[in-house]
Amino acid sequence: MRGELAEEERRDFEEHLLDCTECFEDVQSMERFVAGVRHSARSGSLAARVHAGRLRWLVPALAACLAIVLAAGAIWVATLRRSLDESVRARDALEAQLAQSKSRPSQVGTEVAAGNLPIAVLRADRAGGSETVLKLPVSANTMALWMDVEPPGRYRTFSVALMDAEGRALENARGLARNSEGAIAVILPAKTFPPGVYLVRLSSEDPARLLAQYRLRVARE
Amino acid sequence: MDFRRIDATESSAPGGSRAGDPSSDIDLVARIQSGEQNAEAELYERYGPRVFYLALSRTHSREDAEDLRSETLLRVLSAIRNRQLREPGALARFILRTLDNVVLEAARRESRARLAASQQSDPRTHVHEHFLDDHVKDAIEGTLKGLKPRERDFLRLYYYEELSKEEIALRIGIAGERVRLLKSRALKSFRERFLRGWRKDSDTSGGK
Repeated sequence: MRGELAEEERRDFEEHLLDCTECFEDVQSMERFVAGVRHSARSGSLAARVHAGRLRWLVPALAACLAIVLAAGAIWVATLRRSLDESVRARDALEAQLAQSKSRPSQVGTEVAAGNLPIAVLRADRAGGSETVLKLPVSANTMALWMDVEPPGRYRTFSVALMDAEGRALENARGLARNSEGAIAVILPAKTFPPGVYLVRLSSEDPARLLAQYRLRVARE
Repeated sequence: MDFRRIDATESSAPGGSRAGDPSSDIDLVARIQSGEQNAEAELYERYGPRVFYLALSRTHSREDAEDLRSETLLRVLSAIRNRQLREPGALARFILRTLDNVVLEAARRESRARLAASQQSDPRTHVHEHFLDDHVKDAIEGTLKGLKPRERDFLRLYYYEELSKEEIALRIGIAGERVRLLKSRALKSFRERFLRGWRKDSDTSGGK
């Protein structure tokens, strides 16, 4: 019916139609069906739809991916924003607390814990054996270290390295600059420092030079 | 000789006259040659609808197809009576060859102008028009309602726009085994609906 048979095949098929009632009825049924489909197509009840072909799934899939990426991006930005706000608040609190602590006599082993941020003001371990004790609340997520540095000299940036009692490196903060008090202050994740003794080294970066070394004991309240 | 003219709609009625058994063809030829009147009518009943269908696919109008059918069966009868049919068991082949000759002669007799015009039209259109009636329309409407949009698209692209299966697969992504099952399912649904409507109509009218 679609003219796809070769001439000889067509003749054989037509001869068979003359012979076989069942096949002739099948063909007639098919002809009625095709006639019906063509009529429906002409009359509009079998209207053509616009197809995007095999890639028609692509547009909705891309739209879904884009939506997911945008949502993930928004969440990420919100998380960063929250983290930034927390850091800014911690910095402000730190500066306020340290400004307050400046008015009190400083001692070796001073422990300062005020407000929401546990802070340890470190004193150089020149004498050996002296350490600063920092008591961390169980719920503390962050802690701060404060190191006074000699008056402004030739060093512009600093690094702070923390090690455990066995000398294993735990944290390393680089590119640090003096704060408004002229000190170096770093905020660290509390969970990195379970109760124990730690070594803190303050170095200049340009040139690289060890400036001070501190002992810090972390305890939990 | 008295030919009972079979109406064109009867030729498309389901469960039409039966043919094809070579022994019955041999018997029919023998009976015609012996002068049995009913045998000639039986030849017409047995082969008339099929010859009409084949003539319709070769010509450009229903009226032409009816003329070709009549001319073909007349020549076949004449050949049988004059014992010019060498193989009575191959009656179907003889009828087909006779139809082809009749079509060829008719094409030669047509004027140039009419031939050019008729060659531009698609003979298949007349075949489809012949088979389209209210039962078909109702049956196809019911069938299409039971199909998914993509399946309806396939039927349109395959049977109306006459695209190949490969082209259709590229357009709508339906191919392979799915195509075969879809055609089979749609045709089965259509047949059931058509026969239901046709039988209901036959019962209502008391049968024809």
